[in-house]
Amino acid sequence: MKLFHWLILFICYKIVLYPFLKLIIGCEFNSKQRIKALKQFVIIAGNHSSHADTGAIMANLPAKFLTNVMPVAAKDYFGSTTVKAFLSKLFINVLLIERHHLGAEGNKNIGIQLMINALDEGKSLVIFPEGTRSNSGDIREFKSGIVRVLLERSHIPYLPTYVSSSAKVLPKGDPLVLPHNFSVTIGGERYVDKNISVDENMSCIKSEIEKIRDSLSSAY
Amino acid sequence: MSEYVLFSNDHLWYLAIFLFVLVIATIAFQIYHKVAPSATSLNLVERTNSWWVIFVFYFIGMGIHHVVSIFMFMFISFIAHRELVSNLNFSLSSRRVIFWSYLFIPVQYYLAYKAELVAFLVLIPVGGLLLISVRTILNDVPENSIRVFGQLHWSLLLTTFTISHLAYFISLPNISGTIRSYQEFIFFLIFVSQSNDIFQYVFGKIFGNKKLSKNISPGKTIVGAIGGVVGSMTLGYFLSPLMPLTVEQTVIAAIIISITGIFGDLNISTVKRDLSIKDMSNFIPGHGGVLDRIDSLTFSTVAFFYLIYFWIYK
Repeated sequence: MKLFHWLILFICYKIVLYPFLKLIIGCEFNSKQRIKALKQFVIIAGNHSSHADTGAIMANLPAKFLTNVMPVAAKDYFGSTTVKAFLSKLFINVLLIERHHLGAEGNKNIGIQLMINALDEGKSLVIFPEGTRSNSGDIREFKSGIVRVLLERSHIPYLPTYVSSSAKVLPKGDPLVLPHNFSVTIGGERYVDKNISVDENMSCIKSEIEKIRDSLSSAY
Repeated sequence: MSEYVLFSNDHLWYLAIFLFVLVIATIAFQIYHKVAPSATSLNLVERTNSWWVIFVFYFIGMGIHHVVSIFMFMFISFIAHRELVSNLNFSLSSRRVIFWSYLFIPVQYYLAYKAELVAFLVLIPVGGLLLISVRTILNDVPENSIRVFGQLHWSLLLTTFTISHLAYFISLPNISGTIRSYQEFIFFLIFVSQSNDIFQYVFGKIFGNKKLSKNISPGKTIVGAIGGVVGSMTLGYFLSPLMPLTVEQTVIAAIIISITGIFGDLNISTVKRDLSIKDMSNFIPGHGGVLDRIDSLTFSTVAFFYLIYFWIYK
């Protein structure tokens, strides 16, 4: 069953999505080698502007990780119906959690517990801490859940990640996919600091991601 | 060998000689770079590497089937247009217009394949003018509309209209006495315009220090440009037995390719300076974008095409 799921994800991400992103859309994958040596990690992409982000990050990972890496997604969006939830689990391998800021009070810790459970099972996660997509491309306010998960399992490294201008490919609220060069850059592994507060950790992660963004623009 | 690939025996001989020179140059420059590493030696190694890329693409793209060649040129136009559009940074409101601009590329190459000369010539200059404007009007967003009209249309002209003439070479009727005359033309065009770069570099390095355009491309010197023309002329003379043209015509064609090549190169450099970027993209790792590689071809293809057209087909 696991092999079957791996095969489906392999066809989805590596055979269909990877060449499509590379040749037609023009996605550039940086720092591919860096992840290979790691066993478990949490990818934190600081700016979420498009569904192309998730696809590009997943297609960028080595094939052996496919079943083990789960993009964390909103249950109210990807799991709104049972069929939708099943399909996104099968083809995207998502971990569905409730977004508490959208009114589902009291569920705040359930989502965090789900992520911790997934990490305990040896899974890796892809998280967009902004919680939703924005078309501006700026790095906005983070939700604290990500840091609270990492503080519980502080031996697991996080990888700060920057995705540039993917809103031009597939912005929020427009189904048209357009070719446009964009890049995914995954930084080196970092750990959260247990001795400082959640907010300080969050700004730490944010500045790591901003560092990647600045190094990209200064390359020209 | 010529049963397996689309090249005539003469053409294969030229390719074999070219491959031999390339292997020698690669070994020589690699040793030079190992023994005395410098910016110059690194540049030479990179240039030989990009020649390998050109050679492999030429062999695969031209040697299998003429439809494969057309698809290859179409893909090159597509990537080049995408690079320009990505760097020009249009707002999200013009996405539909950009999408329409991409649709011109397959249509233009289909017309080249079908040898519909009038439609081929009219599609982008006239059709683009009308349709890009119409789509922008339907969008109902007046902000930046001049920028969208102008830049999208210009990008299509620069990347698709010009390079599609390479595909049209394939559809031109074969000249009697040759097997595939389009191959000689395309080989000549690519070989001369790429060698022109080397001649410019070498002559500029040895003799010149007076800049051709110090704000646009500080690497180009006047002596280098003249050396490029003289070098291409000489190369054209030696390549003339391959071409279905007279010796004088071949030499004139080489001079035209060289001069237009310099300006095509500077044209893309100007755009990059204006946008303050170093490369158009990172599509060919280590060699920048596709448009950085075909910069001189954008101008010399059209010039060479009409030269041939008026000499032979008119």
